Amino acid sequence: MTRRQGFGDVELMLVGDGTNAGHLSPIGWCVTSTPPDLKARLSTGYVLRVQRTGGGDRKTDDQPRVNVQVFARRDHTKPRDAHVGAELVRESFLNLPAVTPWGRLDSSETESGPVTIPWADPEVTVVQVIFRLTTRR
Amino acid sequence: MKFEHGVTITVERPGGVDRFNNPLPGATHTVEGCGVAPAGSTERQTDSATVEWDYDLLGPYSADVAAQDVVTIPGDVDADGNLIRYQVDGKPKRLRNPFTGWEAGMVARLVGVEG
Repeated sequence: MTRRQGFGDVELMLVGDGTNAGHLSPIGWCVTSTPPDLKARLSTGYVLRVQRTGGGDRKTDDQPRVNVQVFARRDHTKPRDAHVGAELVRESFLNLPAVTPWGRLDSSETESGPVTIPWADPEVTVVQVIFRLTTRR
Repeated sequence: MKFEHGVTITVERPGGVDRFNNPLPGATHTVEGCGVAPAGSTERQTDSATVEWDYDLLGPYSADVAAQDVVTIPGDVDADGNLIRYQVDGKPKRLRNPFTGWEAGMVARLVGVEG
């Protein structure tokens, strides 16, 4: 009996690691947990927090629910900057399928469109979008 | 009340907010003779490295400090050497003795956030 290979890690597919970029890396600094130097990072671009929050699988497909939060500096000259970043994320999921070192991203659906969520630091804005992705072994 | 070794803080007051609640550029002024006292700190450890900490800002009774202001304290810098920006949390309290009229000073809660 041959052992089946497991599903790819969707957070790695989107965030990347120290060697390979993830699918969302071109948009900003991707993490699964925001860093202590968040504000310094935001001075050079977006920070994206990517977390799998659920979703199941079938024989060949994994269908993770993925929460993507886009962080931007609060700035009256770019008042909708975090929303712009969220749209970049949605656009990037229109360009599927995409092959990553950890598996293949097949397709996406937006389960919940961009919403502003609160953050402890009033100088930071956060917009969240929830996707249902399909990945393949 | 006067502090022998008080500091001069810088106060940024936004010129209102836009329709998305982003602060608009405003004015900056300084307040002399202030002191700060530690007032606690909390930390999140789940999905962020966010640390919040508070100071009580003590200053002259008539110190021009208000809710929504951003305060910087000389020498109080982050790891990159940038002055830490503290948000004034709520309305500053001004203490006057009701028997003597002595104006003891002002207390404002400052909140700093990292991460």
